[in-house]
Amino acid sequence: MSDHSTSVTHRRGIALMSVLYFLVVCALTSTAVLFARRSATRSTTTSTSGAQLLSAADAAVYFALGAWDPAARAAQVVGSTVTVSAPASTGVNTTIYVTRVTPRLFSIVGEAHARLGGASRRVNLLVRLPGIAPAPGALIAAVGITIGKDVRFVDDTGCADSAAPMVMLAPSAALKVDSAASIDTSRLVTRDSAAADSAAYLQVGGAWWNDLVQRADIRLASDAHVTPSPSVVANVCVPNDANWGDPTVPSSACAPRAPLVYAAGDLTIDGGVGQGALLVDGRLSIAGPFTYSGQIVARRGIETLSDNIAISGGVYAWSASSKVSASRATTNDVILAHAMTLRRSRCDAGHGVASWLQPRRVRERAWSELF
Amino acid sequence: MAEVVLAMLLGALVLGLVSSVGGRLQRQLTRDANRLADDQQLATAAEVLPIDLRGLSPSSGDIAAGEARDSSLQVRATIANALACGGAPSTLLIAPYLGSSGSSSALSVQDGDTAWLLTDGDTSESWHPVRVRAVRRTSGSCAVLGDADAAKVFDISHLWAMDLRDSVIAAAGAVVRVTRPTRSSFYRAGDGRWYLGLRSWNSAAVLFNTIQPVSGPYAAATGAGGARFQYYDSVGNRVPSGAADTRSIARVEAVLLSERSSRDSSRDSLLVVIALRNRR
Repeated sequence: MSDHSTSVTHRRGIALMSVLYFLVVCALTSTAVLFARRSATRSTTTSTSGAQLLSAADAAVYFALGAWDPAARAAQVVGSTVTVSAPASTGVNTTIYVTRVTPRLFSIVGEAHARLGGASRRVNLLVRLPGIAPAPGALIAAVGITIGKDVRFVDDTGCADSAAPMVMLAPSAALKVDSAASIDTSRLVTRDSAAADSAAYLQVGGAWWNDLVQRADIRLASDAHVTPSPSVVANVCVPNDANWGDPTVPSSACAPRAPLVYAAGDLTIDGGVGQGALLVDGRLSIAGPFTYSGQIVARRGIETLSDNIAISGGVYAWSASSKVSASRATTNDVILAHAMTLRRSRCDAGHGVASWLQPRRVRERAWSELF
Repeated sequence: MAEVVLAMLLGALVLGLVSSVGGRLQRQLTRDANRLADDQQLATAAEVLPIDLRGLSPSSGDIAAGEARDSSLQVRATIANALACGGAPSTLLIAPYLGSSGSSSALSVQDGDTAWLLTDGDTSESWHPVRVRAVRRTSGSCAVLGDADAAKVFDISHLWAMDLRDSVIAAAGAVVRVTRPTRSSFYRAGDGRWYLGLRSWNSAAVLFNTIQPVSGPYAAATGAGGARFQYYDSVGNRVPSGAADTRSIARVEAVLLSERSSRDSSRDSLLVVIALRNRR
């Protein structure tokens, strides 16, 4: 009997130990497997989320580059930062900041922020507008020039332009200067074959004449008369064909407006103010007090018929229009017989063409992730 | 007696089954634990490597000539970004870029690092390198950042003075990128196993610091079958290990192979592909 009792007790102990061992191992294994899977999933999710956020931040900065608003960026003050709308993305909030670091250099920062979890990534891309080289003169001409006694040439001292002759003239072009003119003749004119090259006139701000004609903001018919002036209604600049922006009042609602104006033939300006770029496929006559900031290209010469004309930037006079019949001019010469001031200014020339300048990445170290 | 024998047989059978199942579960547990550890090491490398490599500019020499090898890669990693607010020729006043979520952090710039200043010329731009001596916190304001929104991008409330070993002309408004030489290597440690490690530059000793392990262990980095780096140009052609000209490298791949399991010879692997953002 006693042997039988011992045997029964022994079997119960084995069963209990076996079951306990089995349960413990099962519990440990299940826990470990679950932990491993959760850790792996968490790790994968974190990596995937990080990659997605980085990708979204990258996409944001390149979106800002692709959707570049030249006019808005041209109007952005150096040193200022603006927030640009970013494309919507599933599960991610993206923000784009554009800082104008220098007149040409912009810093784009794109941030992607996960709606769940709070993780975020931020990247920086540096972009730069094409360089506007200092104009070789306030007036560049392939044709003869007549300068009256009341014509003044000045430098834009605030634009850090290096000193240069005021007029760059083709080697064979004639130059007549009124003997009573108070001009520093030592640095008045330089003769350069570049002034005889059509590229100097038909390529403006890195874009060719025909392309610019296609994208002109304002188109004027041949023989048009215009008196441009800023048009503001309820503190909003109204973009019409007679509104060429306002270079005279920096706080004006029309101060950022710098349209590209194309005249299909001869053009007469009866006075007014404006800025931007003016392309005249004929002869330009200025017949009233006129203030302009930017670049003017006239393909059949320029003539002033009134006093009180001030142009800051650069003036280019070429010798042939694209359509001979579009102009009734009998001469291609530049005749500046009345009181006027021509200021050589790279800043104003650049501002005038900024509306079509597209930035590109700076070289070598444009991109960086921010931590 | 027969009952006792039967009971013992049944008990042994049950015990054997339980032991077998338990043993298999234990092995599974060990395998999963090892695999988890391997995955974590692979994930660590996949997280860390791209941070140093994405922003490289091979064309400006960020990958040292002849130092893009299959077992190691020596680069100039970008460690800080800032905007120069002004300063004297040998000291720059800088406002660091804010990090993700607008976070501010202390600059980890040290003696021997290189600051690259973006010089914006009339017709093109260029990066001008200057040697850094030290950085220190300073007070003041950043005059080149004119509005309040700049505080969303730059840490204008924590300006730094960067002392230089070289002189620079006034650079207000210049973007500054700071780089430091680093060397990533697959190396054999004292325990005989292979790890991915990182060495940073010690300018005082003029050599790299002792290697610090980043992740591992990995399969021996002894050639094409082991953990290794691979390099490609912009059209996908392989750039050979140790090539003198590293300026054409546009993509770096890290082939990460965990150690082979002693039980079933299985192992995990991961291919980390890093496109260099500043290759042009």
